[in-house]
Amino acid sequence: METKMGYVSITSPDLAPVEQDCYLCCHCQRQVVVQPGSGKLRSWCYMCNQGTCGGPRCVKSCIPFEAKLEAMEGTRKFYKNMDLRGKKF
Amino acid sequence: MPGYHAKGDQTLITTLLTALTIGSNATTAQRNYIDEYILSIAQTPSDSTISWTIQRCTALGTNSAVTPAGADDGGDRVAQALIGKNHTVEPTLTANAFIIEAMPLNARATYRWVAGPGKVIITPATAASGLAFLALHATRTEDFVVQSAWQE
Repeated sequence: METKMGYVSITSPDLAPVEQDCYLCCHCQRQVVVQPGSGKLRSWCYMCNQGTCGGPRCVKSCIPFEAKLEAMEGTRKFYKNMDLRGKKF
Repeated sequence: MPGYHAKGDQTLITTLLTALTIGSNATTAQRNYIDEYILSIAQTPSDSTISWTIQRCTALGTNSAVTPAGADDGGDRVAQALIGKNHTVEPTLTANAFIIEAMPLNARATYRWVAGPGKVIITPATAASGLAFLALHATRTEDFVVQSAWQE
């Protein structure tokens, strides 16, 4: 699993504080809380070398979130630098 | 990068309303690097489930402007981000661009997320694009409160 995970903490009057590791999907930045033993299948992107949220779009192809950000910003430096200018996303 | 934090609130109703937006500056767009947020409910909460959503947006709606506090007690420049709370016109939300989607949380609980090193939520450097924190409940009418910290 990731080595630089964030965490969520939930405090409630009746319970001891609960802390859980979490990470952001490397393709869409959705927050994923790690639940050991839950049986939920996520996926690992070997291009980004990070975990994904397991959503179909994020599992199917590797479009790093940085590339999506630059598409939103209209710069697309990521793919220009990678010489993948024809790639659609 | 200088750090800032801000708080927003909104009254719960049966549809999703926004308590806080963190957006890019309208004239000099910048990215915001959000590294922490806290979700909670104000006043005297009792057991029931609030549904929380955090979603990207491309317009910040109509809101009460918030002046963010600097993490360095005035040592940094004034925040460039546009921060709004208590929205009267909802932001334009981006479909399927959720950080969390309809997350149920007991009203008595406080939920805090802290990013891992370098694993922050990034909003694009596009004018008025940003992040919206929303919640709903079927019957409750208290205020819900969101606090967030970011760098820019």
